[in-house]
Amino acid sequence: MIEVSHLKKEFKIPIQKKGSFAAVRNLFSSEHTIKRAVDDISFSVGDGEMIGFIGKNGAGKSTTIKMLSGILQPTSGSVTVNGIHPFDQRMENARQIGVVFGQKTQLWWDVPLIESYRLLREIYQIDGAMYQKNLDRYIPMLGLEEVINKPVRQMSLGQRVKSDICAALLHDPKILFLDEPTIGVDVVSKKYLHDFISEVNQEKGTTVLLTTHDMGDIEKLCSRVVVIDSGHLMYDGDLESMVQKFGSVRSLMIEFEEPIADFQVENAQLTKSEGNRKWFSFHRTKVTPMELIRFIGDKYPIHDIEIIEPDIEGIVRNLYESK
Amino acid sequence: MKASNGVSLRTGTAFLRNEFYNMSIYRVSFWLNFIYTFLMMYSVGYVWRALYAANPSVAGVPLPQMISYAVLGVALEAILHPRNGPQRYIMEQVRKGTIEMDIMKPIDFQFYMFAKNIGGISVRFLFLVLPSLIVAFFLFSLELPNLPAFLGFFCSLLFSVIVSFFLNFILGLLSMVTMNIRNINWGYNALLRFFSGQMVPLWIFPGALGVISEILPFRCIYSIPMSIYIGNDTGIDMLKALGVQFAWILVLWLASRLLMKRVFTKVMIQGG
Amino acid sequence: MRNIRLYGQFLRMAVLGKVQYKADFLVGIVSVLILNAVNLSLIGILVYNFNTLGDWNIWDLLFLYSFWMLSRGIYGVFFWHLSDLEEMIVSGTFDAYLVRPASPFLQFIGKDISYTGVGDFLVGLLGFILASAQIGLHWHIGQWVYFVICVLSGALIQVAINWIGASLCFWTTRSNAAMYIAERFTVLMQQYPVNIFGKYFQVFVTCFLPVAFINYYPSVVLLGKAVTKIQVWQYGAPVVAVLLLAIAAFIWTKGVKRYAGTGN
Repeated sequence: MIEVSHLKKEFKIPIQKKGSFAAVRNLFSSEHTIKRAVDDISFSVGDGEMIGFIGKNGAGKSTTIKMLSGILQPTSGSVTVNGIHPFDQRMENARQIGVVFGQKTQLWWDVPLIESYRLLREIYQIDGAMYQKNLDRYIPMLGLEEVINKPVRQMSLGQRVKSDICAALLHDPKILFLDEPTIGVDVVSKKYLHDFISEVNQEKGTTVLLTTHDMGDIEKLCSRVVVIDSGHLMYDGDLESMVQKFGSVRSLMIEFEEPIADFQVENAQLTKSEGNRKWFSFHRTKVTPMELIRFIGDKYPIHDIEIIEPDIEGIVRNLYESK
Repeated sequence: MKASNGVSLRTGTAFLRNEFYNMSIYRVSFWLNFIYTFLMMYSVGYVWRALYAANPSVAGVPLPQMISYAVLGVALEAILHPRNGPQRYIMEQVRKGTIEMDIMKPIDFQFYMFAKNIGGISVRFLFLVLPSLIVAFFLFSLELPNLPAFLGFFCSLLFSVIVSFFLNFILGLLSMVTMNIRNINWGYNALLRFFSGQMVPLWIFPGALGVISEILPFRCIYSIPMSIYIGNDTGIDMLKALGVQFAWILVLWLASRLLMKRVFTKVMIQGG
Repeated sequence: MRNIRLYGQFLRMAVLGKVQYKADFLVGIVSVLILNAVNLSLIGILVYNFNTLGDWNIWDLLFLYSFWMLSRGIYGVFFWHLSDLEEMIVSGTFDAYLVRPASPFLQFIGKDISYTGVGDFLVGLLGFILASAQIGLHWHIGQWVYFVICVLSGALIQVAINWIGASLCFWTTRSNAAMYIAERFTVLMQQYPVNIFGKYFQVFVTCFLPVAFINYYPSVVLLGKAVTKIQVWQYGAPVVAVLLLAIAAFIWTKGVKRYAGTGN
């Protein structure tokens, strides 16, 4: 469905001079530096896949999405979306994709929502029966009945994003790009969005690419994760392998029968101590939890134990920080 | 204006540096502004020449002085045009809903706006008004005013900057209550252009219009400093003119403080 | 054909959005009236004192001004928001136009209308009626046709100049300063007969920033104000309009391409 190979995007960024008389010098000349926002990224996406892009702000996620949706022209490398070059065949590409930028609406601000949908129907030349069918299905699914006659400017953020996603799907796009769709959205609306997107994906086989900072989105929606950092592709694979690969540090909580002074264990680190409970973190390759429990249990009476697997959030944090 | 002197001086220079830096980043705009000032100076000069060609003695002052007046009117626009006032910033903050943050800063809001505004105006004066005036001086072979007129002019220009700030500030306050103020701003620009004597000197205004222009504060902004500069108001007339400006500063200051209090109460109750 | 239909739909949305702000409408019209009253009064005061301005009397000048207002009104209603482009580029909202299967220009132009243009047009119409009555115009049908064509050309010249100005922000990010300057300069040039500004200015506003074709040359031709004899090129407003529009469209296309290259 999507083929990306050796994709690069460079930006020219003016240098604002510093130091004495910087402002005067700014008036007369300008210098630029080249910033490589996307640096040699390759991946491919199959039909009906849901992929999550994660990475720090400015890592190159949005730039990649913009190249896939035809907004930006790649500096080098190639992109095809369903066999179409998004930039050279912008119009053809536009018909087969839906794009939502979570932070800015593409709807008409001052007019009732339904009017925006009517106009989109004209723009995408959506067949009347299909338009009606999609509206009848999506509006109740997203709970938009009460806002359909309201102008967008009077909506809450959650309602607005839901309306935007509905708008992006009216023409049955093959691919849906979501750029930080849940940023600032309340939990109830988030749940609506997750359910809605998975359902559309299953029912229509829509391929979904989303960028996010919310690991909840990834867990709920994506079977595959792509991690981008400083324009490089750092990881591409399924969620479990990512946990396997990067989440090798686990924790063990032991609750003792009685208060015990802090002590050290080989191959594990005491990270926290609270009343009768102590937490140890350890590497999954170096020691098994059983070994630890046996070792500690030999010395002190154990009341309860818990093994804490790393959460995705923590793994991603590790990923970002390791660079 | 509550801030202590030390703080205000430091904030002042900080704003000044900041404004200059901002201006320099948009290099193209800066040079375009410069070119624009010259085009306008040249063209208004021609308008007066064409008018004087038919009737040399109608306007009450000789042509060279009239050209000085007109050129000054164009040059001063770089600092006195309402688009340089604080109302744009205030409107922008109102639109983004972040105006409360400014109001709640531990510095008096009006003083904060004034410091910010003066920063921009000083930079524009130094880098747009002065250089264009110097070049215009040689190009049009303008006459230099005598020393008292010169001093009077600078004093009066300072007053006019303050009057213009207060009027702009009041417009900015209005934008907090009426939300969309673009059109009001427009109307204000037009009135200012007319009754300030920027384009056409007020002394050739016929009867009633002349009287109205006397009553309104707009003449403090262009007409008074420019008349002093070309030597139309000298001696006691000059002092009187300065007095009028000063009186307006007091009135507008009081009015803006009162309005600010009312508007803030309203904004705070609505909670944005 | 599809584009015209789409543009109509876009305009419908713009009007629907506008009627939400009724107070704005009133204030807008009043502002335009004040602005025009001010401009006209300033010229009025000058001519009241000096009687004529380079062979043009007060009614000739009103004719000149009204000519401009008619064309500016047409331009203003549909294209006033060209200057919004800068904001859209800076905030990235322009991106939305690039992911839809329709021309970005059509979407941008269709996003808004401005009723201030209506005010300008009405002032122009009123002024024109008044001035032509006072001057005592007796035009034959050909002159009327030429007049209408020139008003439209004038509108298109203003569209083109502002279109070019707005497109600059694809290169410089900030273009409103340039547009504002061009606007103020145009305003000044439209209020006075261009011949008073001397040779260099005439060349400038004829060849480089051809604002003299908006109202000056058409008025020269229609009022018979030529200094010696009417030159053929002085009839050229429609040609200038078409040429400028072509240049503007070219620059816009280049700009959109560049935007795709640089992002923001």
